[in-house]
Amino acid sequence: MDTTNQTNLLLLDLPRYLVLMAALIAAIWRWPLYKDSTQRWFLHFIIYSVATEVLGHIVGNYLNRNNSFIFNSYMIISFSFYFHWFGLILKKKKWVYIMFGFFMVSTLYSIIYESFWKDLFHWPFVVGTIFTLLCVSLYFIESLEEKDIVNLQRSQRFWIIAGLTIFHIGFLPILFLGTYMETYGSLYSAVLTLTNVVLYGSYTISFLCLRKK
Amino acid sequence: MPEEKIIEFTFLTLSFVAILIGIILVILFNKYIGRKNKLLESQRKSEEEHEKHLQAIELKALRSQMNPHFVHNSLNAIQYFIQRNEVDLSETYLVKFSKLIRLFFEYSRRQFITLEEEIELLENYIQIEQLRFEDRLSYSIDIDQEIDVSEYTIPSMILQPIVENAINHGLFHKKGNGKVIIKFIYRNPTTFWVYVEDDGIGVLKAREMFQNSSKNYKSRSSAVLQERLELLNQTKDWNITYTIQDLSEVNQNSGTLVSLIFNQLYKS
Repeated sequence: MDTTNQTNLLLLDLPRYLVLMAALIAAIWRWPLYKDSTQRWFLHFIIYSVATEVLGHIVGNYLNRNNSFIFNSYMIISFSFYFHWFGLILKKKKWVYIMFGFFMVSTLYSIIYESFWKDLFHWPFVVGTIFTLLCVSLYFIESLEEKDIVNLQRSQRFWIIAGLTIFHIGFLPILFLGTYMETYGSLYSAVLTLTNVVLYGSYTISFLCLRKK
Repeated sequence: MPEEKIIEFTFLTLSFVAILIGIILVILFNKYIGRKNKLLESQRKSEEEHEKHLQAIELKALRSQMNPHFVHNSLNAIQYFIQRNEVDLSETYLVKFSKLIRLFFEYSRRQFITLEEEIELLENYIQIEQLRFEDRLSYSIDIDQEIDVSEYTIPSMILQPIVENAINHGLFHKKGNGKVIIKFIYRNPTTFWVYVEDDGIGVLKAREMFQNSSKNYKSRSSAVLQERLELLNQTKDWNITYTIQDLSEVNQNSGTLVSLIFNQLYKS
């Protein structure tokens, strides 16, 4: 990859890093307001996301090594984390456990039949994305059935769910056309950046919308 | 267009469409929840208003039963006995009076009481009114054998204002003796009828008298009673039918007959 291309890609990635940092700062700042809630692990998760981005950037761009193993690990851990969180907030937990089971089977399949070190896993990505969207749908259904008045603008869960919805729906074309695209091409990076900006932007709002009780 | 460009174009279009769909979904969800919130809020408001109204009516019911004329007349009568040095009698009535006040307060806090309790309250009330009327007022309470007064329930203090009307508007203006008959008639396990009959001047004459005297005929207690009955019917726990008849229109006798059908819709 030539220097101009590398600079272009870095420019495309920059908004993603910035919004991720914003989410991290908001998560640390608002920690006392959600440390006892079901969202408490999001701070740790965002720290891990930042670490992954930094490590992936260093390994890929400076050491010129294949960084797939970093993102494969991130994929498995992030989806597992989301399933865990959905298991905490949803009433129909049984379905979440079943989906998580299928996700683990797909992960196992990929570990055996795909290369953990060389390529991004395909099956855990497909299964994780679809099941996360199913969990989001369950959340929407349960919220509509709820008999209490909910202020969504002040709901941390809602903003996280909003981010997850747009992020994972936006990711569907990558699921279907990703194999035809250059993984680290500018178009791929542009879409990745856009979806990430929405996701971490929503996370940032989810921390900022919290008010003292 | 080369194949690579077509794929890139499709990918870009699909990605933007997908993101747009995601955003629309979230906005729609937000809108639906907003609408649901509004519905819930208005539902809660009307429930709260209904509850407040019910409480206000119950309070009014208590106040109307504790009407100052009744308290004044009762105490006057007791004072009269004391002045006549009829200590035992004055003591008996003072006990009855204090018991009645206690029952008023106790039952007004409860939504339903047993027929036994309602009858106890009525007897106590009539016996105190007998002080004023001396020998001119008599009463009888008949209860069907099928009715277990300790099991059947009734909205608290619903009959007292009716008996009060019978005495104060029907019998008070009658020359000579007067009688109040209260009957509890069994219909089925969830339904019973109550008749409150007096041989006073009749509701039509009483109405006429009050219209001529430029007073508002409808007594405070009967207005409260009407409102309470309406609210009770709205609660879906009871279906209560209330009718009032002047006996001169039925059988040429003078007097008033109030009929109430209590149909209990809930399982106690």
